Amino acid sequence: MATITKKTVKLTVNGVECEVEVDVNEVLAKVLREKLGLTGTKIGCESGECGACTVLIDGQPKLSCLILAIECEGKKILTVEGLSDPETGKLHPIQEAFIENFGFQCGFCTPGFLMVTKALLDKKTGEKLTDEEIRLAIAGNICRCGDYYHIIESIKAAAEKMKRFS
Amino acid sequence: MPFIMKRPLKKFEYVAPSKLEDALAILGKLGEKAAILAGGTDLLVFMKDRAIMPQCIINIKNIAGMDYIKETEEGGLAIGALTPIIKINESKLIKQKYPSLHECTTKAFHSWQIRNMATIGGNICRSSPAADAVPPLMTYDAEVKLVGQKSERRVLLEKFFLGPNKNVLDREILTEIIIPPQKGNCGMAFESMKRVSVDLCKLNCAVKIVLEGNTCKDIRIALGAVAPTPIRAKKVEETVRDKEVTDELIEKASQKVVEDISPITDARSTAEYRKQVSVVMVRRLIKQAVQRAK
Ligand SMILES: Cc1cc2nc3c(=O)[nH]c(=O)nc-3n(C[C@H](O)[C@H](O)[C@H](O)COP(=O)(O)OP(=O)(O)OC[C@H]3O[C@@H](n4cnc5c(N)ncnc54)[C@H](O)[C@@H]3O)c2cc1C
Ligand code: FES
Ligand code: FES
Repeated sequence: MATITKKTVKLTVNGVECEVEVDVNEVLAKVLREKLGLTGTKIGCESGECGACTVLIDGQPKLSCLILAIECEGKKILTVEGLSDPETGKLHPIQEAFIENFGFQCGFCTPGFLMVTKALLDKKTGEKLTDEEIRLAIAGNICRCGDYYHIIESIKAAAEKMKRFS
Repeated sequence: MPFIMKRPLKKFEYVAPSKLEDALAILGKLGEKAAILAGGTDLLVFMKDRAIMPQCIINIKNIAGMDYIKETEEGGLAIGALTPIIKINESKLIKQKYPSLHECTTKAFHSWQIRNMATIGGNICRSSPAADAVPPLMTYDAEVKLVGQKSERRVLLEKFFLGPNKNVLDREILTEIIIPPQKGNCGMAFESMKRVSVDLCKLNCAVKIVLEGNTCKDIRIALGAVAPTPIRAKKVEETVRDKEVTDELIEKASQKVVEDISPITDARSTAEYRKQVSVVMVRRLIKQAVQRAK
């Protein structure tokens, strides 16, 4: 079997199918930001510890700084840019909830928290969302501004808006 | 100004075979020059740090049939190497029959993203003395299946580790973890001590005790981050085995753990601290395991 150093991969990013040529040593975060112009995904620690680079891959929150772009061949990727309505640009209820509840200060960690919240609320249907569950879900995300209280309030408000009980 | 990655990965070649034989053929040819990629949560961090610079990455995630949790015919458990930590966390079977393995996914691996990405095989093969999935598996006398181009062997997990980041793998891939049936009235417990939730542990420990009435028929205690590899606390085990379990016995036995371990001072803890805390941890976990067996 031959080894490769470059490949054109097919990805579905925020619902749009695209083809992009990647070097095998490029992580997904870099390809999203530099080749696809999606700079909403932030890069903080580059070593898995801060969660700023979180995107959803086939619906699961994963760290785009620790995944090679080439590993994502054929996968569905959702970034923060994909949350708002593509037609009208209307913000997603999770984004509205973060704005209304002061869920950020500098905003650097916010895309990561939004994506984890999206995955949490997608998974959750019907039953009550507890504080404990929220805390567990965001354990891999660091907010350097220390705005955790408002982030948790925002997530609860988002659950309320999306009729996921909180 | 273009965005500059602080830690770009050095150039390497890449291959993602869909058959185990193909992966093994490349590994057989390249040996040390190649690195296996599973969840990447250790490997890519090491590569960014330039701690390792493989010439070729062999991604094994496209190999089908290595992600499963199933009961074996003998009544034990088999776990595929590519099973992500999240699946172990969500398995009702594991929660019920191997509670200490379940606990390692709640008391460690706090990051949801890491639980989604990290595999159990990767946790073992990384061979960190602090790996959190290892102590529970060691208390079950788990074995690992190692497959090479022309070989297949089963190694007791305890014998797999040779030192920090070192193991017995020789151009082989770990394909499966096999847990033998756990006989008798078992109680199990696990704990991992961390500074912050996404840190490596200062110390971790798992206990499995088999009780008959109040007598300890068998016991296994495994600790991590207190020696060059995860280790069994055999002195403590000997003190408890075949005895009537009392608070005094547990107290006396847990003191012996300092004879089993050889901790170092590092960024996370001092050796002296690790010794003192090991005693407390072993005492608490034996008590908890006893309680759960009753
Ligand atoms: C933010 C963060 C938090 C973490 N928290 C914890 C924690 O709480 N507890 C803990 O124990 N660890 C933790 N880790 C470490 C890591 O996530 C785990 O060790 C994980 O299980 C590694 O699995 P992986 O699939 O990502 O391995 P990879 O990074 O893909 O591989 C690790 C090593 O094993 C080799 N390898 C992998 N699979 C195989 C195989 N089947 N056969 C042969 N060789 C193989 C690779 O070549 C590599 O050398 C954390 C890491 C990060 C970045
Ligand atoms: S940048 Fe990926 S986790 Fe920090
Ligand atoms: S708002 Fe600044 S890092 Fe979280």
